[in-house]
Amino acid sequence: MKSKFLVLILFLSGSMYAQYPTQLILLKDVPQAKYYDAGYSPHYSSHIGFPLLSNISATASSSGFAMKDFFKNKNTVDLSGFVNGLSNKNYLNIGAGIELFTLGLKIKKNYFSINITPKFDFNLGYNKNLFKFLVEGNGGFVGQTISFEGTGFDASAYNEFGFGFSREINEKLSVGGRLKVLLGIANINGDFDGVALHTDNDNFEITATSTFSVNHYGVHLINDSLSDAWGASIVNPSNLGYGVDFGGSYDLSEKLNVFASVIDLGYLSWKDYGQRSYNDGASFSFVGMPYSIDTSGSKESDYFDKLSDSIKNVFSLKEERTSYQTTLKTKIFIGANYKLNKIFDADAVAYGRFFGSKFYPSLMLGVGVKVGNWFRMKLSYAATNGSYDNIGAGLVFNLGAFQIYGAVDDLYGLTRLDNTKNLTGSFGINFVLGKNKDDKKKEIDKRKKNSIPVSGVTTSKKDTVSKLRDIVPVIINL
Amino acid sequence: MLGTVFFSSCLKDEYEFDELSVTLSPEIAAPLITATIQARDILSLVDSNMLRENSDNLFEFIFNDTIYSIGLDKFIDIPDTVVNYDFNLSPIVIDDITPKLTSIRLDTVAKRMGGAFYITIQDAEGDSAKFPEFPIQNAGNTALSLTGAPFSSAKFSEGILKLELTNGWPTEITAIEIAFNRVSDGVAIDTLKYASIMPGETLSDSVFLEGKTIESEMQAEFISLAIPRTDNKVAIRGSDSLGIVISGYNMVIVGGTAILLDQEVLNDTILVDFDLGLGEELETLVLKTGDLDFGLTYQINEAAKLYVELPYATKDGEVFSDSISVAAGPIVVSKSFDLSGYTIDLTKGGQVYNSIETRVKAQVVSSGLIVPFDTSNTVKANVSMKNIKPLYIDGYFGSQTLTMDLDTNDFDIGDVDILKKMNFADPEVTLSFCNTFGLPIEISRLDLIMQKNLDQEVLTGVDIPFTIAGGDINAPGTAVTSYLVIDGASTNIEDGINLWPNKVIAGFTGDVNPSRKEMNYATDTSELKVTFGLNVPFYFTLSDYEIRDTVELDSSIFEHVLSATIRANVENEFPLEGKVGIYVVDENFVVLDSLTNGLEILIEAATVDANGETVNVAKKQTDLVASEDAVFNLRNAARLIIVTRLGSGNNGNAVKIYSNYSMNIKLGLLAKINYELNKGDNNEE
Repeated sequence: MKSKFLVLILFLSGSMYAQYPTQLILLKDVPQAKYYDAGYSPHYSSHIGFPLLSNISATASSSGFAMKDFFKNKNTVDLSGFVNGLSNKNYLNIGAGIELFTLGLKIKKNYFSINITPKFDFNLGYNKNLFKFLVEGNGGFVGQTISFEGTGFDASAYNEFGFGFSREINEKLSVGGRLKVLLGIANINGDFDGVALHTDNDNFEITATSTFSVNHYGVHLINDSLSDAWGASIVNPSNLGYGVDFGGSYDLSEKLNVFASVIDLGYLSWKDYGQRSYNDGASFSFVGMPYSIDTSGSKESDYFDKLSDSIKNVFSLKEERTSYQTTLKTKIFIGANYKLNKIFDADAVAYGRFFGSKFYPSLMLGVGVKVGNWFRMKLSYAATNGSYDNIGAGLVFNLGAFQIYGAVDDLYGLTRLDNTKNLTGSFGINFVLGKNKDDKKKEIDKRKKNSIPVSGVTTSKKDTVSKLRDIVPVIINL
Repeated sequence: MLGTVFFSSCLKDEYEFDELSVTLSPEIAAPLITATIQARDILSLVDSNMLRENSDNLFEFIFNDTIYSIGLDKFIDIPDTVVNYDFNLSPIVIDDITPKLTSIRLDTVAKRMGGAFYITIQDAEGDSAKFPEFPIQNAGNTALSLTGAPFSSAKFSEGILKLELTNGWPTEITAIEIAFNRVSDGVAIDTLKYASIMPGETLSDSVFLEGKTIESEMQAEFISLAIPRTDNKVAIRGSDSLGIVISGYNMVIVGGTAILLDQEVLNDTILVDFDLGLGEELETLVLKTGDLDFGLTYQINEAAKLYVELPYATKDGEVFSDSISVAAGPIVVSKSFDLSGYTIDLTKGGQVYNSIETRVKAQVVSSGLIVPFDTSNTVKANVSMKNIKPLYIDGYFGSQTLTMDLDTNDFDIGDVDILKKMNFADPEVTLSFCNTFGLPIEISRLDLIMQKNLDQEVLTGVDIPFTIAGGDINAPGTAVTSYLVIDGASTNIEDGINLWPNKVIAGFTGDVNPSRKEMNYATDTSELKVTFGLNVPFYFTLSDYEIRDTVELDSSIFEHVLSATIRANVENEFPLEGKVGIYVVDENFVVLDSLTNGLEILIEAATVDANGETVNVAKKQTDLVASEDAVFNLRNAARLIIVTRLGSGNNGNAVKIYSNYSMNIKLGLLAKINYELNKGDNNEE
């Protein structure tokens, strides 16, 4: 009972942390941006996340459908419309999370950070044919094979202990990465690539083949008797995994920065108390009720009883205790930022996520406004998950060391929940220290380089206010 | 979580979740039925006892029935033969009777006379005196015994009894009359008269015995005698006698009581001649059964023995010979002799044919006692040969005509409709004549009529005359079968069989020993059996054989169906084509719709070559489409009428059905379903 309570806490309140909004990668001021831009070397000297409030994230991302796709009108469900709107391969990701703790420190050109982040991530990949079959039947697949290739799911709960490092190689280039030690809590994943249904053209004979397996770890966490029988503990120190983030950022020019990073390249082991339910190459053909010229009366009930038994026998799942590995859902980001001026900049990010054997790409374009160091706002446009109307926004307020931020990838979608396919947002509070010092040093270095006097460089409040005055007309003029 | 609550409350304004309706309209494709029909499955539809496959796997109807059978008794039927005869006892010839003397004394006579004669004689005894006069008078009797005669009383058909009278008295006796009487009844068998007999004179006389009955103890009665007066003195002695000597000669007795001597009273040969009237010349007969019966009515008072011999009947090398002992009669005796197993030479050693010789001899067995007898005593004998059944018989059975009268045989080769519709191309009738006789027969006329109710077809063109071979006398009992094959090459048998008859009327006439006189034989099990054999290979044409089937419909199954297609896939090795029409009708059988375009070919016939054998597998895929309109009609329909028309296709060429043919049928259903869920009404439509 205790274990159940503990798991419940982990899942519902304590430490769930999943997808971050892509917007976050544009908010370089926010320490959590490094979770996507691993090579970025922060301009601040340190940060401390507000415990339990440094990052609260939620994500719901569907490449295949939006809620509206289910409806023909306000009270009529249109399942065919839903199916027709799907791509061949589709993806659904749901997650939410709260970061426990994070801390970072810059020492000379190196920035070190740590984070403790329990994570939960649910991913479902499915292909169009699956739902087309479920909704429209197999009549449209006569002579064809309905393959469920690309259908799979994965849900993992694990603790991430991250050790980040980035370094300014030179003025232009910085590289970095994060080594993550992972401790698995629970997992379930399944792969249905080997499931197929063929409908023959001659007489619509149906042949179902099934090669799939579902691995799961954690049943014992909610089954005390099983836990006692196995002698399993809530936390299994053998469930270790490793992940790595790495990336780089390069200033092509003063204005143009390009960056790239690979996130969540790694695996997790699920040891000793995992279970595998599988079906290895089963195949069953339904050829119709046999008819014999000399049967004295058909025995339909017997036939269908036997058919049912046969199907059960053929497709019955085998179970075994097992240890297995899962991979992290690797993401790739490639982007660029162009500073129009001190206030405005523009971003372009191409990114994507791997799930199963498929890569789900997206594109985000953004423009930003930066007022000094205390306010930044980003507006973005993203083409993702087959939807092309994702207008996102991100805000960062730096009130001294106190930083509060929020980002949403599809702001418009919040007002049209039934239309959106991508609802991801983050909110958090950090304490970020030494932002100005760093900028000032850079300015001094820059003037020195360009033989510009450094005396005008100041970070006083007064200067800040005067700078605001400079900005307002610009904003009005915009 | 809060966000979910918040967000969902927004959606409530956009959507009426309480009034949602969901329409499910999938299209389902599923197999319905898979069936493989083997040619051998056809066996289950017809009487499998008749339908079989030959060595080439071709199906054929085989029907056999015995329509005629005759045994030996048709050819050789030996009637019972009875011979009656009787015989009488023959007269008995006895030995001559040697002279027997008897006398009467003077003193006896004198005493009988009594009176003066007696006194005178008595006084004169031993002296010489005048012999007293004796007037004519009865002088009394004296016994006259035929001692040693083999009879006590006998009636004679001939014989002489000689009597000699000698006067031993010293005087002349006159007016002598002597009667010879039987002692039993005093009847005189004869009377002798003499006028005078001088002293010492002997007079003889003969008595003819024909028709007379004498006894061995007789009596001489001196009915009269007289002694005349005489003056001569004679010696008078009382012992002087009149002597009578009697003897018999040539005596033949025909009755009476006598000692019957051993004698043969019968010796006869009986010839039983089997004249069967058809010129048979039978030589050897081995009897399976046969009785030689004797019935004897025997009146002779002495025992006898009857000897029976069949000199040409042998068994294990022994000739039949037996006897019947007959006790003294009158008596009735019967005896039967079992002749089974005997081989009888009906030729009597090559002399004749068809004959059985019986020799009978009867012998009186004398008991040595005097017994009554009469030559009118008869012995009646009844000799019969009965129950003559051959185990084997040979010889020439004659030239005779064998006729099987027109006989109607029920002919049931199955009542399956489709078979009646088939026009068979190569039927064959075989008449099998299984002959275990050593007897050739030539069929000179054959009548064969196939009949189905009022329709009939008379067989013509049969190759007649046809010889039925006989068996080999060196291997009797071995059947020889002759086959008369009647096929379509020269006869109209096809027309007959294609009536699909239920009766066969058959008859024939044949001549036994048609060509020449030859040695025939038969055993008790010999028979001529005629079997009607029908062989109808499944080589036929079939045109438009229609089957109609009505299927009751539960129209509720179409409630959620928008449209449907039944896909039929048929791979057919049979050279049979099937057209199907499916009609949707209401309760009154009014046609509402059709799922086919008239009669559609659903089953394509495999192509055949010139021999009717398939050269390919015909494949046909057909979609029977029920559009939305048709489904609407199905909802209002009560039943389906399925019309199937079968034919052999192939442009009317005859086709063959082999046992290894099969047809694979697969039916699948593609149906568009419509199902509405209406949450707002809280019910399902």
